[in-house]
Order: sequence, then structure tokens, then C-alpha cells
Amino acid sequence: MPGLSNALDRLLLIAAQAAAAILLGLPLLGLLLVFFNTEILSEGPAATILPLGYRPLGLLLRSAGFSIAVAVFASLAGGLIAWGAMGARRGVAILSLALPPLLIVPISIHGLNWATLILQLNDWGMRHRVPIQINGWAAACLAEVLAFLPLAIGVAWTSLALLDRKLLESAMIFRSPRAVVWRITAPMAGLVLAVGMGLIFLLSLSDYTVPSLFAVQVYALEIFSAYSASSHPAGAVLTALPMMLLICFSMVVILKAGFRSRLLFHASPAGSWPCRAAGWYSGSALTLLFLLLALPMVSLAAGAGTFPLFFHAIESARSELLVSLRVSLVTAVLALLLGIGVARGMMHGRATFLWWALVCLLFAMPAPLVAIGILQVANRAGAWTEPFLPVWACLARFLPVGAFICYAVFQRMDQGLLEAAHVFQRNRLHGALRVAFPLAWRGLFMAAAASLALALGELGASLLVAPPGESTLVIRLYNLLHYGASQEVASLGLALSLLALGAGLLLTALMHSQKKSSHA
Amino acid sequence: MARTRRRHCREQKVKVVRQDADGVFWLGTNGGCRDLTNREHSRNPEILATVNPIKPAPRFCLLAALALAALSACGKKEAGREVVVYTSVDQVFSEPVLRGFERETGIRVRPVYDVEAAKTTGLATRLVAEKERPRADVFWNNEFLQTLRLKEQGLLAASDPKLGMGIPAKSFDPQGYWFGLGARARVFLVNTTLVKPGDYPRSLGDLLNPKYPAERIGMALPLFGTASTHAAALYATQGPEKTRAFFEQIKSRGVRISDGNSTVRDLVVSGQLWFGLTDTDDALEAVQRGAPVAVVAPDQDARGAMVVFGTVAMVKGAPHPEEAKKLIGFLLKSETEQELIRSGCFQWSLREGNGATRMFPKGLRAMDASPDDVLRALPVAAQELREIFVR
Repeated sequence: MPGLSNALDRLLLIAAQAAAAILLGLPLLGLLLVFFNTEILSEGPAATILPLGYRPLGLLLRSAGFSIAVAVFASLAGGLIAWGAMGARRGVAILSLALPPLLIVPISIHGLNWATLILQLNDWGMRHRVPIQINGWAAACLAEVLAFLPLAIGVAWTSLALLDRKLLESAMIFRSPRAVVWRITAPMAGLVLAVGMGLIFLLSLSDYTVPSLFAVQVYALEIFSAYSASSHPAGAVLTALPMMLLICFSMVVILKAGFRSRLLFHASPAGSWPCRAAGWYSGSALTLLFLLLALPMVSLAAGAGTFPLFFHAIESARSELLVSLRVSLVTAVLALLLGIGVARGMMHGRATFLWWALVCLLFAMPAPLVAIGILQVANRAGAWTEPFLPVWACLARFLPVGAFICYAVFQRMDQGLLEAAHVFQRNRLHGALRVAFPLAWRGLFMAAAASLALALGELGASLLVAPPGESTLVIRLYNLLHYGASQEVASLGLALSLLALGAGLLLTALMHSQKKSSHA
Repeated sequence: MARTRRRHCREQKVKVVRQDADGVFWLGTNGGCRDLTNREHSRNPEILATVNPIKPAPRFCLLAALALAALSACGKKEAGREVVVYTSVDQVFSEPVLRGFERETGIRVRPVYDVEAAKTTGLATRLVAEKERPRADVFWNNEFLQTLRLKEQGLLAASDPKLGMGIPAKSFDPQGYWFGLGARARVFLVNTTLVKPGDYPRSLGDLLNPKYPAERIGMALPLFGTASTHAAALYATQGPEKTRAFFEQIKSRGVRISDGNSTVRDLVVSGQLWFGLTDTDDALEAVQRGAPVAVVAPDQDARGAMVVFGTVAMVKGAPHPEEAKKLIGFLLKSETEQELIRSGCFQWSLREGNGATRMFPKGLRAMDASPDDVLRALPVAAQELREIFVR
């Protein structure tokens, strides 16, 4: 019954797009409602909140420059490390083992750890009269680059793993590996790298905790302090507006650059990685990767104390751990399913521009504003929405990430192959499941994994929408950090990392079995 | 024709098809590839490589997703009386007290905790955003400024003012909108291995004293939390001009400005700072850890140290008003306050005044700043300090 199945496929797509439009659009509508409920624009405080004048604009530009530097350096370093690691024997297996534990620990915790390490090194240097001191913007940039490095390596690895190996093999017949990197690999991996760079830019722009450790003030602090001084949500929206516009503009520029590489997309990523890097280079990349993994793991293991203390810390945080896992798992699955619908909306149809605008706006919106928008809607909808709010908040924040990755995956699928499948498929659903999904599953898996990791570390929105009596692991971690319970923080961080290490092992085993069966 | 092709595909266990440059359709199977008319046979590894043997079960995935979505709504739904409390008091201190209330009354407590990163504004933000449909019954704050602002915005409900019996008049609202509960102070935490007792700082003015290198002394950014309350109190007691000049000198001198009081504490404990201005609860945590630190109350021979007291209030439109009143009554008990002091959450009882404590055996002289004056000074202080420190 091809007609029925086609109708089902269409129905599923419409349902996914409708759900995504509601989940992404309503928080924006909620923020508009804030303006109707406030006298902010007719009151005196407007002048103190509106980001006008030399100081806020200068701050915004400096913050943007800082975040661009962080995104560029992290992406560049991540790309070089991923390239070097993939060029080594068993490099892919090492990456799939090392990255999940690094990615699952929230970026903010990474940032605080690296910032503390830099401050301690500075202190050591001061005591031993070593003239090298890293302070101010440079120190803040270094700490953030190191914090975002796992994410950057993950993005670069994804983009490289999705490349058409045959093209690379062909290119390497004529040119050196270095030329292949700059002329073939970088443009082909451009779209995914651009999305990753945009994500790092956004995360860096909305964080003030790491810069403020080095006495560097950024625009995110301005938003927070403006709100803190006025208590008007509308004021926070107005203050955040220039930053959101800046992020949207940057996304358009970056993605437009990424689209230029679209013509080079083809799909045959299977097979071994053809570009072997020089031994010293691969060795250095793997050593760096090992250090990135080992330093936090060793410090966590040392801080976790004895086994009874370790297990007690996990037992104490059991309910928060379960809530976090539940919310992030549901977010990951829904971000993938709805992300597919949104990505198709971004590619085809009459509402392409609207989908892009919606996704970019949500991607650029600071977390507390997303939560305030959701609460405005939930206030009107009634109490039944309360249990869904944490997932909704995570989806509103990270569905755009899932959609961007799905979009990149769909863009690079071999259209010829899909068209050929059209000839023989029983119906559209059959073709999608038997041809399109097998071609795209790696990328889709990455979309779900990215959403899961981001949702697990979400704080800004969860804090405002978590139902009473339910708390997430990150909220508990932050409370423990403030209290100085470093043993419990280390235990929980270690437990998360071990969990992710297990997931990495599973992933490696899965990829290995796929490889074996496709060669059989 | 289409039916023939489909049967053909089923019989041959076709996994994928592809059209080559000549327009011939190729079928990929486990055994190799061939064209539709079976004229030619070939082993094309490329096509086989793209064939993925995974047979996804989409409907199962969809059902799993729906099940997960339903799971997201799962929570403990227990019948019976309950009370929702939003608290910025650290979870390690507030949780045992709330469990004690549950044991005593049988009323289930559903708490929402704040984090240091939100600088005590997180839950106040939430209360403002939930104004149309309040979910919270009680707001238990670890300072007073946000509570006073919520009252100003009409978000608090009045309780029985008699609950404030025994609390000094300026530490509770005469109409019963809020009540003071436990107090802490702004103090210097000094690293004793780096600073000799004779060189301990004695006054806030020592933050500008050239005998202490600016990069080795610190304080939290005075825009949030108790650091902001302290700054507003200085604006209220010594006037805007003098206070602005003081903070401008701190900024221009290069005193280390951290993002929070706990960071100041950690920097002092690790020896990166000689001393820093922080709260007594943070300082006490370092003392209890056995760190080489001493706590010094500033300005004891002049205006006194800034004392910040916690507050508890009922939310306007609270869904469980009776339970909320019971919880407020429980929190305001002298025994509860003593328990919070024992655990290290607060260092002074409001009922007993700023008398002798373990931390300050001789007692503490407190700055004379009324909460209402501090609240009035806050907008100017916040605006000016933002211009000084966020640039």
C-alpha cells in the first residue's frame, strides 16, 4: 500500500515540523508577552537598561572578538588534533574511546578546572620567580579554548568521518597530504566545522564565569547585571538583543561559507581513513588527546577519595542523576526526531527562510530568556505542562544544534543514490528507511549525542523551569562546588566520565562490528 | 513493471540500487552487483560498502521516542499535603532542615534550590516569571535584598506578624511580609602563612593600602549577591560620592575581582591571595577544612562590619497557604535557627543579636544600615558599579 505509506511519511514529517514549530516558537511568543506585561518602555529604568552608549557597545565588540578568537583557536586545534589522531593506526578507536568521557563532563566544569590550573601555574611561577605569567584576556582565552577543545575535536572528527574517502584517495595521488587538507578536506568538512565553530562562539559569548576568574568582563555579565539591577525580564531581553543579533548574523555568514562546499558533498564514508599523517604528528596529536583525557581523570580520581566515599557521593546524588539522565535522553531522542523534520524544512519548501530564522534565533538566545519565555506560556497553559518543562527547555536550546547537524548530514548525502532508490522503493518510507537512514545514521547519531551531552550540562534554563522537588545533577554539582565539597564533585565527575567511557567502548565495538559486516 | 521490479528485488535480497553514468541501474546484493536484465555481473565494492546491513525498525524507534517523551513527564506523584519552597540557602544546609519539617508535620516538601552561579537572582527571576501562576509557597532567601524587592513588586503575601516575635524590629516586616532568620557578616579571610598577625587588614580601607600588593588581595564583583548588598549598604551609609570614589580606586589599583565569594575563599586558601573580602559562611568552611586562614571582622573600631541576614516569606497566590504558614513557623523557631548556625549556614542568631560566637568570641560590631535604606540605594549603586567594573 504505497499510497498509505507515503501518506504516513508525510504525516510524520508534518507532525515533527508542527511539534518543532510549537516547541521553538512558543518561547519566542512568551518573550513577546513579557513586553505586554511590563511598563519597562514607559518607565525611567529603560534608559539604564537599553544597551546604548559607548561602554556597552564597546564591551559587546570586545566580547565578540574574544569569543571569535576562542571559537577559531579551539576549532583549529580540534581540527588538527582530530586529523592527526585519525591519521594514526587505531586513531579512530582511540578517539571514540577518549571523547565521550570528555564531552559528558559539562563544559563549565572543564572551564573552571582549566582556569584553576592556569591560576595555580601563575602562582607557582610567581613564587619561583618564573617570568612567564598568563593573565587577563590571554588567560581567559586559553582556559576557554582548553574547555571547548573536546567539543571542537568531536566536531572535527565528525566532519572528517563523514568525508568521501574516494575523493581524498584520488586527490592524494596528485598532491601532498598537506595540500589535500587545505584544498579538499577543509572545504568539504566546512559546513560541519562551521556549525561547531558557531556553537563554540555562542557558548563562549554567553559565559562570563571563566573570564571573570581572570578579571575579564564580558557582555554576558552585562546582561546578567542589567537584569539583576532591574528585575525586569524585558530589560534582560533588550540587553541581550544586540548579542542575539550578532550571533544570528555570524551564523548566517559562517553557514553561507559552509554551503560553498556543498557541491563537493558525496556519500561513501566507509572504508579506512586514507590520509596517513606523519608519525611524529599523529603521535603528538594522540599525546595531546591522552593528556586532555588523563589530566581531568587523574585529578578526579585523586579527588574522589576512597571507594566508600565515591559510592556514597553517587548514592546521595542518585535522584539528581536519574532526573538528568532521563531529561537528557528524552531531549536527545526528540532533538533527533524533530531535528530531522526541521532540517527538511530548512532544505525544501516555502517556509525555508522561516525555519532558518526560528532556528538561528533560538540558537542565539541566552538560556534564562528561553526559560522565561517558556514560563510565560506555561503560566497560561496550566499546571499540566510542569513535568515537561525541563525537556522543553533543553529542546528549545539544543534542537537547533540537532537540526544543524541533520541539515549538514542531509546536504552531503548522495542525491544520485537517493534518486536511484526512488525507482525501486515500495514507498517513500521504505526508501528512507532502507537507503537514506543507513547512509545517514552516523551523522544522526552524532546529532543525538551532541544534544545529549549539551542537555546533561544545561544549567541556565533548568534552574528556572525544574519542577519543585526535582533537581538536576549540574545544579547539585554547582551547589557542591560553592560549598567546597570537592570530594563529592570529583566523585560525580568521575562517575559521569566512567559512564561515558563505557558508552565509548560500546560505540567502538558497534563501529567495529559495522566495519566487519560491511566488508564481509 | 514496478511490481516485477519489486519481486525481483525481494528474490535477490537487494539492498541498494544505483544508476551508473550510462543510465544502467545496478543492484547491490550480498553476492555482488548486476544490472536489471542480468546481462552483466560485477563485484562492485563501492556499492557493497554503502550497503548497511542495519535494518532499522522505525516504528519501534518512534514508539520508543513516544515512550521516552512520556517518561519525561514521570515524576513522583504522591497524594497528600505538600509545600513548595524556593530557597537560595545552600542545599547542604537547607535540605536537612526541610527533612526535619517533613518528619515533624508529615507535610511533603518540594524544594527548588538556587546555585551560586545565579547569584541569588535565579529564584527571584523565577518568582517574577511565575507571577501569573505561582508555583511556590515559600521563598527562603539567604539574604534580604531580593526579598524586599519581591515585596516591592507585590509578589509576597502577608503572614501573621506575631511570627516575628523575638526578632529585632528592623529584621522583620511589621506587616508580616517577610521575617529575618539567621545572619552572617562580610569579613576578611586572611592566609596566615602569607600574612603575619600584626599585618592583618583591619578596615575596608586596607583594600587601598599600598602595603598590600593589589594583585594579592581580592573581593567578589560587587554586582551580585552579598557583595552587592554590602556595596549598596556603603552607598546608603556614607553617600554615593565617597563610595563611588572608593570603588573607582579599587578598580584602578587592580585589586583582584572574582566572580563570587567562594572563589575569593578558594584563592585565599590556595595562597594565591594574601587576603580577601568574603562572607562568614564561606570563611567558616575554610576554617573547618583546617586551611591556614584567619577571619578578621573589618572596621570594628569604626562603622562596623556589614551583617546580612536571611529571610523567609510567603509567596502571593501560594497554592498551599496553610502548609506555607506551617513551614514559615517551623523555620522561624529558635531551634531551627540554632541548627542552621550549628551547620555553618549562618553565624549569628537574630534573636540573640550579634553577640559572641565561636568565630568572634568578643562579639561583632555591625554596620548600622536599615534594609529599606539599602534597598533604596541599590539602583544607583548597581548602575554606577556596573559602569566601573563591567567595561
